[in-house]
Amino acid sequence: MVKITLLISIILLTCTQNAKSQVKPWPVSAEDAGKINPIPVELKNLGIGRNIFTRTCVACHGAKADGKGLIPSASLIDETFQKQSDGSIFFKINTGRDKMPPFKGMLKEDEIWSVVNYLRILVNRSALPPAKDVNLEISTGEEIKSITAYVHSADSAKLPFPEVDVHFYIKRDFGLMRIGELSNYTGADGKVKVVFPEKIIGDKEGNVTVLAKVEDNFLYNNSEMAVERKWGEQMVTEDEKFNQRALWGSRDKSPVWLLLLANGIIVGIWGVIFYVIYNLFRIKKTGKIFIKE
Amino acid sequence: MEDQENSVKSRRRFLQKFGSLGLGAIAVSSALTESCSSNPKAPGSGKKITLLNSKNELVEVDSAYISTLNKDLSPNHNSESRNGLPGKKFVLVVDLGKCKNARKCMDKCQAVHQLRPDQHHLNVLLMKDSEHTAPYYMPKHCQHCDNPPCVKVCPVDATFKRTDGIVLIDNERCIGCRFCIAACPYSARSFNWYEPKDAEKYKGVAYDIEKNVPQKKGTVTKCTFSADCLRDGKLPYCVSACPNGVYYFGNVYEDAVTNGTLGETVSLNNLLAQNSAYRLLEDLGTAPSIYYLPPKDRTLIPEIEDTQS
Amino acid sequence: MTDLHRKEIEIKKEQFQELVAELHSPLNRTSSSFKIWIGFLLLLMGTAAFMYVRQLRFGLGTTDMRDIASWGLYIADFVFLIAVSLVGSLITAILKLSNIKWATPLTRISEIIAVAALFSALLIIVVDMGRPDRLWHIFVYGRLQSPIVWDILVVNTYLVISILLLYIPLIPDIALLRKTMGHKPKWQQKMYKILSLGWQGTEDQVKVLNLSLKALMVVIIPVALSIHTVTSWLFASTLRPGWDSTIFGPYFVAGAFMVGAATVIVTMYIIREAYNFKEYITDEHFDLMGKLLVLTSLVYLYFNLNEFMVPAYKMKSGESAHILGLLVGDYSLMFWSVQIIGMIAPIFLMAFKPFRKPKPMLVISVLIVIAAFLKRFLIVTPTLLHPFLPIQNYPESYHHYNPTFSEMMITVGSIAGIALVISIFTRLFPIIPVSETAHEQGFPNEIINNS
Repeated sequence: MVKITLLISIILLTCTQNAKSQVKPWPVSAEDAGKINPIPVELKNLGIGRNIFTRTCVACHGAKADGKGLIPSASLIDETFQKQSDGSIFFKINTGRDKMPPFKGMLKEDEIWSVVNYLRILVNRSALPPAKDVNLEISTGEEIKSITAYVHSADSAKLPFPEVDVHFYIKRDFGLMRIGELSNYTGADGKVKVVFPEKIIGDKEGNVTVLAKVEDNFLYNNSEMAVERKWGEQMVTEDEKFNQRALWGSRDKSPVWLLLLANGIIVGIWGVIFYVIYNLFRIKKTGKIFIKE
Repeated sequence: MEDQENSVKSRRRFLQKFGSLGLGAIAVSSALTESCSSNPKAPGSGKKITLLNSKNELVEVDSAYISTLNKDLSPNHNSESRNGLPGKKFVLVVDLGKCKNARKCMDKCQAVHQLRPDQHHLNVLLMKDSEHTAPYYMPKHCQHCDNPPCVKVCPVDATFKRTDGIVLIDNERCIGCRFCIAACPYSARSFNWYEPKDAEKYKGVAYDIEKNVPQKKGTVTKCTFSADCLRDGKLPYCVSACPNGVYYFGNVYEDAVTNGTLGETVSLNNLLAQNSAYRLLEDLGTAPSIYYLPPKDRTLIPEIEDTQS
Repeated sequence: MTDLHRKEIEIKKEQFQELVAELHSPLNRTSSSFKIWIGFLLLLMGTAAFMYVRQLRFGLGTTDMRDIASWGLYIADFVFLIAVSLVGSLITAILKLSNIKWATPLTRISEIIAVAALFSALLIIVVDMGRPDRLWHIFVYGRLQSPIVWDILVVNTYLVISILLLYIPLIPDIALLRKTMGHKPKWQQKMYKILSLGWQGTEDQVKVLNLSLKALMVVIIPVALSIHTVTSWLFASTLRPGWDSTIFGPYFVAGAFMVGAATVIVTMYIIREAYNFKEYITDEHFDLMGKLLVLTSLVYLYFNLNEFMVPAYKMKSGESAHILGLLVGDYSLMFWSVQIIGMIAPIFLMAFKPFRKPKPMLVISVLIVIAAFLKRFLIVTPTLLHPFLPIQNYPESYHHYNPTFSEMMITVGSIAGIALVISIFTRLFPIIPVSETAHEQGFPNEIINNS
């Protein structure tokens, strides 16, 4: 019962959402809609399109381009969107509307066309051959600190794969920091080498975790491998700075001068007060003696 | 006070008992105890589990809404929270050029920290520095100063600075003198003038100093840098809520900050150097842990409605 | 020769008894007007208590303080009461150590004002706390780096010294009360008995007493200065424009001497009229207190010039919004009224002898006291309303601070409490020191101790 009502409400919700998007059409002139995409559907261009998409579109449209990002927005993978012409999509990215910002000026025309191509690939991979499984191995050079990734077929033949884009990263607390270029393509031997940059900080011993990844590739499935090397600078923490005696320190960390000053004053003044109170007892005592006499 | 403590204790005992039954310590995650490690939007798996809740009622819960409580519930959890995470010194970089006043960070912050709409741990301000300079939006958190004026003046150690740079407040210690509010030049603190929002719902929830929830009437509250998230290795609530890529958060010691929207990690020093970063009211000597990147290359330049600022 | 001597002593004795009878006369009064007065004060305090219970229940939201103006009337009242209490040290210690005899009849008045104002100040600061149930945290978790802890230390120290300075000169007088107040209720006689410490006026006792007094008078001066200096540091230790000032300590101390002197003048006028003490609190006293008030006001004027002129000359960013708000903005009417009516005009008027008569002095002093309260308000509030960063995303009301009825009644209650303590004190103890006056009038020790 509950499930049925849920189903109904979901259907209703999607309907109203569709209705909404239909309420406000986004007219594109025939001239704009008819523009031909000058960028061929090629791996390099798709890579450009993907990189732009992850940097500028994912936040709102979501990683799957289904419109479920941090700001709910149009799905780019459903039929209503995909049935538009390349020219229409280009026009909309270029000019923007409401919360969709205009990318004119921010992106070059070629780049926008590449994004259009990438959006097409998201729903229809038929333009590309099926993705292959790969294995990734890492070897490191010690003399010149470098990382070499070796990409080969996942089967026992271990055939090297040339022209595979490998991404290299260093592990940080909240994410992976890229080293090397944006794209590093393997050579004919299936290998690609990246030099470990200077001034990378490791843990207290200088250990750094390095990763190589084949990811979001149109021809190969994801694969990754990590190694730990003592290549980084040793991390210098400032725990002493935050444990020192200071005015902002906790109550057991008050500055020595303050302790001495305050306690000195307290002892001095209260010494006099206690002396006076003691005198009151003396007055009382002498009074009693006097009465006896 | 005591009743509440007892109820918390009994809850703990209940959880311990549960643990000895071999079921492991579990907690029902709901909007109330929403934390970094649980995902309230997780779709139902359809698998139901029967649980005993804190009111001693048997309830049926979808297994997707159950997460293991990885936090130490021992009574001294909060005293450990005073020490800070080892090997970390947290830093936030705010790219003013990217802020479009979406306020997702503010909304998330207020929802997570049980705040009323007029209570701000985080406030997005419309700034205009002088007559001819362009206005810009500036998200303003507690600056987690290294020379914190608020901590200096606290009479009871209620607010304190941890070794990882975070300035927290213990609302079980705070006496409500509001000296810290007066001392803070960034107006970053808020006070519970009334019974906090949803106080009824939060009754009996164990106090988490790193989240400062549940809030208490008559105490001060402030940005925690989402220390509860950081303990789990996650980015702060506001940082991951931003749709515009405004926030970079990371560890100064390892010279890296991660953008909450893009997930991209970059060198802190490079980011600051390449963008001429600055800190807010630097001349006051408070040494903030938050850096701002100047508002350049903007697609949206706000218009000023009120000339107040 | 011996007869003559004896006769002289007899006359002296009679004169002394007359003096005692006159100074003890308030203790024997039974007037309904006094009861109405006490009832009125209790009514005010009862209202304040009711409002406070309400505040405890609903939170500090019953005040108009909010996240921007987070301190308000209570803190202004606290600073005011601390200022008033400073007068105890001025009249008793500073004037006495300088061997100024005319102030003797005023010492007890000023000491009781100091003690009552301090109690009231301690209460109002608890009222301002969001969690008064955690007051004990200060003693258990107290942090020496916080100016609040310094303030609590010095206020309590000053309170103890003030009580001792009130009590010690009272011991011989209480011994006298034991002899003359035989008709009073048992509890009152018992109280006199305990408090008199068996005072006999022996040489030893007098010596110890005077030694103790001297020690206290020396010690109270630095403590009194620091109590107000430290209170000023509650503000000056922050970075806010308007509070971030290096002269706040002396500025507050000077202001406190001024309002303290004015409070003494108001109180001594009322006591003189109520108990017909024209012979002891003479027109001459008003004249001299007037001169003292001119002196303290001039010092305060000088500090005001420094405090407002210097930043107004520079108009530093941050500072300027605050200064303009005071000089020509939202608070200008209050600011100029306080400065002119409460400081500049009185200095001019009191320079002329006719204005130093009791009645004009009363009017001037009342104006000074009211202005002094408003001045404390002007020190606390406008600064908080002008933070470094703009006030945004708050309700409109956060831009202003207008104390609620509840806050005002609690503040009024705190002042009514002072009046109540002083009023009841005058009915239990001689408000004008008896033995000191007798000594100064030349009565020998034997007469004072043995009559």
